[in-house]
Amino acid sequence: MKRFRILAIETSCDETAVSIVEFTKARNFTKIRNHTIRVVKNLVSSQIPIHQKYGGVVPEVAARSHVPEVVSLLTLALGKQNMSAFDAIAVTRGPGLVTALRVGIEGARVLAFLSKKPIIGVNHLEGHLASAWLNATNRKHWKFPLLALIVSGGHTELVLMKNFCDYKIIGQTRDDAAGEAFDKSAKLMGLPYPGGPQIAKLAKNGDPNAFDLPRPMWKDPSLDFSFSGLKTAVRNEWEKVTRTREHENTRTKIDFAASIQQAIVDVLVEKTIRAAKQFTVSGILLVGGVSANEELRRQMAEKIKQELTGVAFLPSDKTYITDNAAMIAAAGYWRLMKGERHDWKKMDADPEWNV
Amino acid sequence: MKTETPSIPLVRGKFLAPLIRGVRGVSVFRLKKLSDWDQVVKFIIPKLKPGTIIALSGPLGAGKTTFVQHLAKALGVRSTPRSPTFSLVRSYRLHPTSYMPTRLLHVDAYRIEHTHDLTPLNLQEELTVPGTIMALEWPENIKKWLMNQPNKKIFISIKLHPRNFRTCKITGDAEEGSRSRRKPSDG
Repeated sequence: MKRFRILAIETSCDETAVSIVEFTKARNFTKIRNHTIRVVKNLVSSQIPIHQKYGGVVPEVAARSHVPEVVSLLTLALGKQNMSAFDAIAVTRGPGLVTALRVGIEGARVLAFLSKKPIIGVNHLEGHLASAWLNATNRKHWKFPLLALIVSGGHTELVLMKNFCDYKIIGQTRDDAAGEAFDKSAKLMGLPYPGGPQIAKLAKNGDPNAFDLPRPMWKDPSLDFSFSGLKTAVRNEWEKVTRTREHENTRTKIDFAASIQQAIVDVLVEKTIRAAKQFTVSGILLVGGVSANEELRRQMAEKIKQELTGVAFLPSDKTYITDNAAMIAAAGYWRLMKGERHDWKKMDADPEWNV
Repeated sequence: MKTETPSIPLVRGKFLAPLIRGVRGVSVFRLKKLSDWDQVVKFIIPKLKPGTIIALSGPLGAGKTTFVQHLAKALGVRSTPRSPTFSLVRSYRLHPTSYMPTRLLHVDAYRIEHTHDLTPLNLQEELTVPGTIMALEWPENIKKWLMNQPNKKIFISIKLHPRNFRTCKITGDAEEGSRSRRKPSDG
């Protein structure tokens, strides 16, 4: 057994993250149970305080603040060990904002050149898939084929994982992402950014059936999602509420938030269950920023228990839900174990990359 | 309102007359159902030439992305454009036809508050790529930048009315071929 440390850098959107993860190399890669993982360092410098002012992620601001942050995080992560702190480098190559991605990639390239160690470019979405693998209990139940629901501000995807590094997108949003639906609904209600957590907070004691909102794409046989129609419905309903001046009533607000949340959660859970049945998977992953939503986790776990016996529910740890570098290290590990390498001279960002 | 794109292809020729078409260079469409967007798209397509910017304004949920989806479909894009709010810019290759344009840029300025935030997106440079047309959502956020562009512009403003009915006002370079000297208002 040999220890193998990966230094990972992630700068695809608003988070700058650097991490060192130690893998105990098993002789046989397919025997996942033999792997032990230790996250040595996991540093995330959330830029949300800057972004709140703008009500979103602005590429220029994001890229500009990535530069000093990535340097200070790297210094912190490597410490006195310097180049001997890692055996390989993993970096997010896409999808994301080009300008932001490039900051991380340039840093990784320089390190690869100086340390002469292997470098691998990782897909951000694959990183999200790997975030569930960082959990030891999840690894115990890890058996392909798996189904993953990736939900975040920019993504809503159902991914069928046939093996490590072998994926197929079987469903995705046709317009807005689930996180975007949360954020924009919150904006329509006049809630501050980021809207998702605000709605979840309000919805806690609300009645999810108080308002009749549509469940888009429910009857559609495909596994795709659509949230733009919901946005319009939210707008119309909320206007009705404002006309009667009911919107100042806290009770109404709470019920409205609960109804929005339920509409989104319902569709996500239903389509995931449908996909799981269709492809007879042995486990379901729930990853990405929106998976922080308690109701989504609870209802997904409940539905799986009810309708799919023997299927494991594998949500990622709360620590690794939002963008982080530990998950990039894990995905990088999968790729490196398969023998993949990148040439640092030729590596560049790929903002529209799909898994 | 359902959001699935209709599978009926556009038929050349005949389209329903817009609601009002009296004023020069201003056309208004009344939209009741999703397939009505095809009428708007049909009206717009002959006016497009490489470098054209289509500025789409309207409130959240008005149907700006829906319009782009219909436009892309009519122009032969195989995939369905998704909301570019998160990624800011998405680019689509148009099905090669005998004439330009060949590339559709879908830009969303929803999250952009200052014109200088646009610099890293290199929009100017992207527009010079031969055969590019651009659909821009939330143009009011980058009005200054937009007004400084020498490109042909078409302004589409979508209004929501009660009972899910919309009007869509199209302003800009009036008739095909004729160069309107009048500065288009931010319709």
